[in-house]
Amino acid sequence: MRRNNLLKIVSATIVNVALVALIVKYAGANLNVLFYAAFFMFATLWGLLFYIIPRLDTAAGTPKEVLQDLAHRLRSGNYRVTEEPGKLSIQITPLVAIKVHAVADGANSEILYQADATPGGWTVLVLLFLFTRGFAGFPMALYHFLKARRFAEDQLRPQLPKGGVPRAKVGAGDIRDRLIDSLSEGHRLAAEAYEATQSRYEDRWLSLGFGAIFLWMILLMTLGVGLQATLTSNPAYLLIIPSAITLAILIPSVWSTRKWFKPRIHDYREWADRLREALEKETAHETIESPESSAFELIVQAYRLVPTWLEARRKGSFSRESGAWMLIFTGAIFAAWLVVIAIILHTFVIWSLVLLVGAAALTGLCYLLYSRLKERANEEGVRTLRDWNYRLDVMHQKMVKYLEEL
Amino acid sequence: MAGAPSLEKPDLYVLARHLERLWREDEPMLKTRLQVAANVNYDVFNRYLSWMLNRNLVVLENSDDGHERVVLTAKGREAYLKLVQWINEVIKEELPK
Repeated sequence: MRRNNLLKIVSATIVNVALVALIVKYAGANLNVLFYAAFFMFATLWGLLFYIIPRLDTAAGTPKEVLQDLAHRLRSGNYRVTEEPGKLSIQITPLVAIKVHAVADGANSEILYQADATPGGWTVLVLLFLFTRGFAGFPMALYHFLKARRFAEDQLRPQLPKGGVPRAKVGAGDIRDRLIDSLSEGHRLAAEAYEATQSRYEDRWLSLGFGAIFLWMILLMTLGVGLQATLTSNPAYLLIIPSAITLAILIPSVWSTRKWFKPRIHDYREWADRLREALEKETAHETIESPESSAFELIVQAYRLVPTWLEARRKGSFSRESGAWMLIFTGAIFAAWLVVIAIILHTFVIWSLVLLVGAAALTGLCYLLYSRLKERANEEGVRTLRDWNYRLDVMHQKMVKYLEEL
Repeated sequence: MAGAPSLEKPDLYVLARHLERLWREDEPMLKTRLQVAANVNYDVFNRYLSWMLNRNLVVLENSDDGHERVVLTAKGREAYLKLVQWINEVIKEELPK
């Protein structure tokens, strides 16, 4: 693995130097060119910080055992942990995350770490990088890397089983360990659903804002062209009519957006808080006096809602089908611009019509792609719900049968 | 608990509530405290207590103050552990993406 990291660093450096050399050779060494060369350098370093996987230590036990043990210990410390085959993903701060990999090394496991970011963290990183051409994005990436390294050294290393003796299987017989794991997973899913929905809500506000401005401009241009005679007598109409139409569309849209999102956000947040509180009490070994706080019932109730949370998380994630969404987005923008150009060229009727037909065809294609995506998402949602309910039913039957046979 | 009417089929969650509360308590628990903690009325509580006693999930202990206290047995602890393990297994299976 160390050799792999070295290979990544060497190849990134070669690519970087080659790119800068090519830019300088063909464009000359002026300030503008050096600026872009610096951008490429930062971009390479930026990527490298999230690409290399440094070694942390060796732990006793198989990778699966070590990761399970580590996941449980971190959950007991109220960290949000996602288990994936061969690795863990841990949220360190609202922006910074770390991935922990375990690779078999004889009877032991080699533990490695990789800097990572939460969805919010990635958004900040990409925006900073794009808007400052890497000058602020790179320090932020470096911060992520250093934060992940410190977490690995200070929090992960002391938790690893040493001396060639694997730890007893965590949770094999301990009720509290099992409750902590179940509550922590429930909390993670509810919190992720809340964050994804909140983020979608904010994105919706942004798109409503941009959509309204765009609509207003289109209306302004169309009216400017179509009602020239009327407007010359009263130019105030040029502002009043587009504004009134935009508001008439915007206000119901804002109202329905709020009506759809607010109760869901509230609900997910309430569940995340309930599960977090129960988890904190469990990890602190507090005795719960309230009759409504049975951890078992809370977990069962929460698990009934997991398909809804998974669906909310999936809807908030841009990573899946991102290519198709980009295509729809680009197509929609292109169609809108065709309309704008058609309005500008209104005196050339034929060209104007051709552009409008092109815009209509493009809109149709975008809609077709969108409905396909939506249909697939709905099918996935139904399947998830069915699978999950089946799991819960099997569990319930096992429990009831066990009690009957006692 | 001779006078308590028998319980045909216990509600899984109510039973788990009783077992969990007893598991959390390090020492024998007063019957009235357990009833309040389980959030059931006296009649229902007696049925559940009787059901658990019949299956050796709990035992009753007489204390010096004259009050009867309920103690979770090893079998009762094992039963609660099994319920918790099963629910844990549900989430341990790979989640849909």
